[in-house]
Amino acid sequence: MDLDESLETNLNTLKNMILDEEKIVTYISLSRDLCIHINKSKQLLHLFVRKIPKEYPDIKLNVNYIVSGLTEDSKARTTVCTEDDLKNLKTSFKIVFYEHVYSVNKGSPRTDHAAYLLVCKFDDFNLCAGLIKSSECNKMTIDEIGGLKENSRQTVTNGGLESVPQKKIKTESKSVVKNTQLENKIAPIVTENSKSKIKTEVVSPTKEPNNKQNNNHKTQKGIAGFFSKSNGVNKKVIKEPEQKPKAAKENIQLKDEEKTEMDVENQILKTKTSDKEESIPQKKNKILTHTKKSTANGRKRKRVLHVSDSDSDEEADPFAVKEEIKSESDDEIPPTPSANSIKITSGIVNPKKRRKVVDKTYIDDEGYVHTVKEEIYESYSENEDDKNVKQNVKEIKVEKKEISPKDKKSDVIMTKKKISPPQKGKQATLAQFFKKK
Amino acid sequence: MLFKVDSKPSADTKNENNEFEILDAERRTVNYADCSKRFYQVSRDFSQQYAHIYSARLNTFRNILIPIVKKRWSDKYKILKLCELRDKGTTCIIMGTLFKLQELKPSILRELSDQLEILPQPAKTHFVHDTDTLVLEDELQRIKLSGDCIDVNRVVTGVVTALLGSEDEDGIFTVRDVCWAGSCIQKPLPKLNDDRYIVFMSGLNLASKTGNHLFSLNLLLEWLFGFCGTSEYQEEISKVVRVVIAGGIYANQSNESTLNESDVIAASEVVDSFAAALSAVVPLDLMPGCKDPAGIMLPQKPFHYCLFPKAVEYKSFNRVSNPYECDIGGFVCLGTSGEPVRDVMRYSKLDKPLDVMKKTLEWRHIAPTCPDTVPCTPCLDTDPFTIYNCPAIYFNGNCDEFSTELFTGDDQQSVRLVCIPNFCETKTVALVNLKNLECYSMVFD
Repeated sequence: MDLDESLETNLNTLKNMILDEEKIVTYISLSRDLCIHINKSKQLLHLFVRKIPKEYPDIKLNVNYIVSGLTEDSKARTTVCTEDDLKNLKTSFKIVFYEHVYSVNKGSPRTDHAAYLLVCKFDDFNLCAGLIKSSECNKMTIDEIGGLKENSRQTVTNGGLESVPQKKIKTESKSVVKNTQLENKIAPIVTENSKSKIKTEVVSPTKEPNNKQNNNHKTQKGIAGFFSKSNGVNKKVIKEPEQKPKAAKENIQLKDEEKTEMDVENQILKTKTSDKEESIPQKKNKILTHTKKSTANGRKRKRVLHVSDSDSDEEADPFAVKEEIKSESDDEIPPTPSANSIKITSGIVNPKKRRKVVDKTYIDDEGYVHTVKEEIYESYSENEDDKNVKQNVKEIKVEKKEISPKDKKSDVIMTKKKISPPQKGKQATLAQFFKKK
Repeated sequence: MLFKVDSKPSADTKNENNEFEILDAERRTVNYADCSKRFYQVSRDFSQQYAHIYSARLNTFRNILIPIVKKRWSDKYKILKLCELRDKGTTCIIMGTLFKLQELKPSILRELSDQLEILPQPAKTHFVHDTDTLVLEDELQRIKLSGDCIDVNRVVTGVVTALLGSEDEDGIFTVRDVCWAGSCIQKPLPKLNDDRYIVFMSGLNLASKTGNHLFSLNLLLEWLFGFCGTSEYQEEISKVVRVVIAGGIYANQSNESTLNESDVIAASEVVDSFAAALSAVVPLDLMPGCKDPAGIMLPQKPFHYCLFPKAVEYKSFNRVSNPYECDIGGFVCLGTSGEPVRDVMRYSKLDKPLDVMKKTLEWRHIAPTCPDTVPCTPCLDTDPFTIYNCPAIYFNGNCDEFSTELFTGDDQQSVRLVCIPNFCETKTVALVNLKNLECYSMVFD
């Protein structure tokens, strides 16, 4: 009884679909829509085709049949045809395998293949009950699909990616440092690893190229001083000078701090120095920053020296940072001809002063005249010329002092005392300055 | 039996309810092994010269030919290398690669000079000329051949053979007899109790702008899903154990133009849906064709998985190489998407794909014109196109029409040759019954 009821319900639904909604109903779309077995939908359509002409003789139904059979010895054919063509078609077959209703719709007889394509798409076939299942046609797990993708990625990455970062770093390094003399000196020392090129670029503006390793040592120790308060772990990392990638990281970090304009480079380096970059903002809150300006081809280059909190100049320094930033944005920095004559502006800058590069000549002990480009601070009022000279002196002293600690082989802790040596150095150079004059 | 159903006694007495019983059929399975390792492992190093593949081919076939030659001509005649030929008129055996000197063969130099001509030359598809001559080449030398034993128009460049004859005064070798490598020994074919069918199709051309064949594809899917037909017929359809698409799923070879990127992108969704739908019910092996987005050089690597995001989820979906060799239920199936056979037809007077396939079996080489006129990667150590196992089913895709023949080799090898037609034009697929190696075609229109 239930079966009959469900049959009646389905038949009524089918009637609505064909007669009222005027849809094209195929045996597959019926099975999909009513969620019945495919063979049941065929039976239903057969029943419909028999009943409706009796109940509604005025209604014209377009019934299409699918028929399959053997045409020649080893050739078979499956086709869809109208009711009228069915008999003729069957006579053309040697053997008929089967025939049954394919589709029913209201209207005059015609076979509309395009309409059938719209009624049933490839994805709908899986939704019908009655398909032949196979034990081999199971879906893969997510892990297996991931493994498939991993395997293909590995074959790609083994060949491709190794060369890419080197190229990137090389091209960027070339664009950044072009005309520094020191780069030529350091070039023979550069290893195969392109990261070492960055090291040399970092080294060149401020250091004398004594020894690559020494430089690494010093930069490491210099950088270690930056990390001494913020992150103890990094110290240990830095204390291994032999590990090139880590050394590269430190140098890269230093460069990050110097060259804020090198965005692309920073992106690559950020991936490697993610840990250390996190410690930088912490340091900035606590540590004094001396900005140095070394120029190459008219570009601004900033070097930030991190000095610890324990020094006496701490009170004046935080203000210096702000002042420095303001002045730097306004003034233009001329290019640096050589390392010896690189001017490094101190952190103590009077905003009222204006920085200017001037050629200064002096006669050395042997009687030779040397012309050196120096930065002079000129105030807006003429009365402060003397102060300018003094500040000028300070600048030069700072520059020399910054070179000297790196020459010394000091420990990590020594970097804390970085401010004090410059002061001593200033005094020494001040005397020298006066002697020469 | 799928193709030998007895006709029903009378249309009036058939009982629909019995015919269309609710049936939950389970698809039969057979053992399967992919034997195309040598095609996957070809190195893609293009710094090598193509000469290496010829020397590898010659070395392999020399080892194959020596016992065959001894068996055929006994030990009467010496096997000499071309550089050892000294005595004129002495009958001896030489082995080497045949090279056909063809006047009409496309040459890049001629193409460059043609560009300077005012009148454009008509595009040629057949490069056979009456003045074609044959030359035998080994590692060091080559020698011209003459004689009626070898028909110049029925061989192509790249076939390795052994020739019995003698060198005459002019330095031309007169051929008295030819010995081809022949089909290798075939593994004994397993005997099956029940029917097991493999469906072969090719040239689906789903990236085409016309859609005449799309409804036929729907009918094909309905047939493979087991939707159409009586319960008895559905039971028979469950014996289809595998479907092999021999290239051309994106574009078939009859297309003059090549596919561009936008066509591939537009078609990829349909192709993926079709492959996923098919993989859901039957194990599917998908080979690339020469116009498909898989590289043109043979052996073609399988399609990339990213083209089939839905289909790749199914374990039954296999992306395979072109050429493709596999073992299905103990039956070795070997075939290509059609490029080598078409190329042999272009450079010889063999005009039927079945004849070419028989010749390739006789020469024991799937693609003798590689790398001369069929694009191929430069292989170093071995020639991957050598036939090592005599197949039970040897198929060739993207043909103009369906044709099949049961080829019997010299050593009683039994090979079912199947020329799979372009589906988009003929709407035909091929079925092979593993029980008796019978082959049928099914047209959906």
